[in-house]
Amino acid sequence: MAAATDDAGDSNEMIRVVSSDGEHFEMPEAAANLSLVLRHMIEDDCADAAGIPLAVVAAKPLAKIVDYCTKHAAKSSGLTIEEAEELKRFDAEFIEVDTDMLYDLLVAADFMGVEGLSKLAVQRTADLIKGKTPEQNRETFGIVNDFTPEEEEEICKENEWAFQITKPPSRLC
Amino acid sequence: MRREELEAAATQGLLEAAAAREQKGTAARERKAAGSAHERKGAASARERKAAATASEENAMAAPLQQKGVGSAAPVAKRKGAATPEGAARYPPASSFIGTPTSFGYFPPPVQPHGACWGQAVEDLGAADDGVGAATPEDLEAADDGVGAVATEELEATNDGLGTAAAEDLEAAEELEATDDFDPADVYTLEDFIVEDGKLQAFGRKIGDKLKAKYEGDSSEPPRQAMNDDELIPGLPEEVARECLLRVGFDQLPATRSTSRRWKAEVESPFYHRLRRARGIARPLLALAQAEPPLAAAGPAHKYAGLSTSYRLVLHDPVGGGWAALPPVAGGGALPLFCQLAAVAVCGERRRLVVVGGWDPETWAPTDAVHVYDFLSGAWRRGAAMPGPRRSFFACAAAGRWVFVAGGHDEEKNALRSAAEYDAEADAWVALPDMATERDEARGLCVGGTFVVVGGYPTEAQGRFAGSAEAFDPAAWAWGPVMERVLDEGTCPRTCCAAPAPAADTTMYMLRDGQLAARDATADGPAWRAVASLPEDGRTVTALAAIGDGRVVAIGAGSHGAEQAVYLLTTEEGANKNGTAAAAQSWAHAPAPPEFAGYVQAACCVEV
Repeated sequence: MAAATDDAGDSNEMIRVVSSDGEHFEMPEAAANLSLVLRHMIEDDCADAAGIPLAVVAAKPLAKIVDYCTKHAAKSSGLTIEEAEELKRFDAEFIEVDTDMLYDLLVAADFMGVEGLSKLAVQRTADLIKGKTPEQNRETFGIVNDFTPEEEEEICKENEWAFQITKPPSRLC
Repeated sequence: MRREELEAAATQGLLEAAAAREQKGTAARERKAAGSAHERKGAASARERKAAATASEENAMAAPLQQKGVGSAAPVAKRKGAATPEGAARYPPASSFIGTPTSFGYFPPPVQPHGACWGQAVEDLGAADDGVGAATPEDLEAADDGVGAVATEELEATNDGLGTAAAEDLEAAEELEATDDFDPADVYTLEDFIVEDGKLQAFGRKIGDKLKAKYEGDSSEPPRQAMNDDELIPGLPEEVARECLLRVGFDQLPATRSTSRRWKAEVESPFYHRLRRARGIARPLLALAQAEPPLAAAGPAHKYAGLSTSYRLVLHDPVGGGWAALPPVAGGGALPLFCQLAAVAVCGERRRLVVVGGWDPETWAPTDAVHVYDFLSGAWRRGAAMPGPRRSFFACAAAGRWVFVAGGHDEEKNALRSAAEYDAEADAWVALPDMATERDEARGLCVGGTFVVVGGYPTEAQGRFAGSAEAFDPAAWAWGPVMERVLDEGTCPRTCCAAPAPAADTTMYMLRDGQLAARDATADGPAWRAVASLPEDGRTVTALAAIGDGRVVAIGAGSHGAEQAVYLLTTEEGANKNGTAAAAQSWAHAPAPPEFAGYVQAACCVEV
């Protein structure tokens, strides 16, 4: 957590942030810059030794976010194909979290303005819908079925088809 | 926000809650008052009924009661020990009919009003019941026919009044009973007030905490518990939840729409689809009329496989590479052979796929059938049939919510000049003015909102394609002058396809001599320009579609008789090292998976 990786960026300064439950984290400035909110704070010289307080981000998701930003900041420019692949793998593994953590990340990334993470988490949430029936969707997202029985029947009639997307084994060039 | 403001807000919340409670109390009191009003009304209507019953008993008649009326009236009748609700609803024995029974609930025009004024009462049911054994609407109506009737309205009004009065009566009675022996548990005591007040206080505090948490971070409470049940995704802020739903795949739209009312409203909103496009989430998909996969290569059935080709609709994502079959058209039949496909946007960006005409796969007779697939509901329905002669091999293209068809030939093989327009939103056809010439096997494109019909041949020139084209402008409701030499004479227009709307000067693409060519508007008039050479193994491509961003998809067999492959041309605009503008073009080649390797007979592009 808060890996103090020296990156090739213009500043090696560590930025301190404080979670809503009072835990302190550190990350390189380049990593903090991935967050719109933190970048503005840094630009406005609000990043002091006491750390930037993040009101709605608890320690658990913040640790993940610091992780994410540090990784992505270290690998931001001039990626080789392998590095891009590695970053992709990192993202895929990174977002393999339970719904609670996913929601925390969604809210936190949105609040902190970490665009890449927002996209990643939003896509992951959308992927939770993939291949699911309406009933499974309700279960996953804690949604109450508020259709009347008539509406429900109508919908069932319409929804009998389950799409199966086939992808070819590989794409030749 | 400052602490004082927060506290003020919390107090405001409390006050509002208290006001709401106050209102609730008032409402309850009002209900009570209304209850006693019912009671009075009930008593009054009971009196009226009594009188009416006396008046009508000698006629032994009853008014036709609507189902609703019977339903709510029955309990009253039961109290009298007469007809039960079941009895009233049961079909009468045939012998009890007088005259012809008419349909339930519908009252025929009044037959010679005799001036008899009878306010009908529920008790009449009972009376009639006594007479014939089973009281039914038919029964009653029949009786009515026998002696003449009153004006329908009058009766209807009485019935309605009765039904409601009876229901109110019951309600009032129940309420009365409840008041008579009241339950001490129902009384709102000081203790109740304290408990409720405590709850409200706690609620107020919670709101305050939430606000504090939001602005100061004093609370460790996760924000999602602050949300109520009205959310798109419980626990997520609205805009985040919306972002998530925006990214649902086209194949998941039907299931998403069926999850809850909120989700349904969300995906049905025009805004949702506009955003999907704006964010680049909506993908250009190709809808293909494709031959079902051939039977297994082994086995005796194989050699007949070619004889009984049936087609189905398939969606292909040329960028992502996915393939998926669409459900069979309404009725479960196979797709008509040689049908035309068009994608329309109705009701605010709602994408639909329209399948027009073609030949019945069994009889090979041309069909006028229209099938409409809704990407949101994931279901097919039948559209209004195509009017006019049963046309085959016509030009077809869509603009907005309209599908245009033109030319082709009728069942006598006469090439046609006629054209028509299908409004997918109204599900209705309108005839268009005729084209200047007959155009059989012409190709339809939509270019800049106009319907362009390219090529085709008149009856006497069987198979010798004309190079001209003409365009219909829906705004002017007229065909423009015939454009000569759009194609070379004798060229089949089959691979012509329209360039996507925002393309600068390019209006259409087609395949010419193994080259992908674009038709550009130049200073000397439109001309074809070679864009890229098709790969050697892609020379038999039969379907072409431009999908935006300079990308063009070509689908066809790699070689005659081989399985279908998809060629995707991408153009990377950019400057090369010398600073001169250069467009790097490359074909990506992807063989279709075996189950989607059938012949593609028609294609259209739809963005979902």
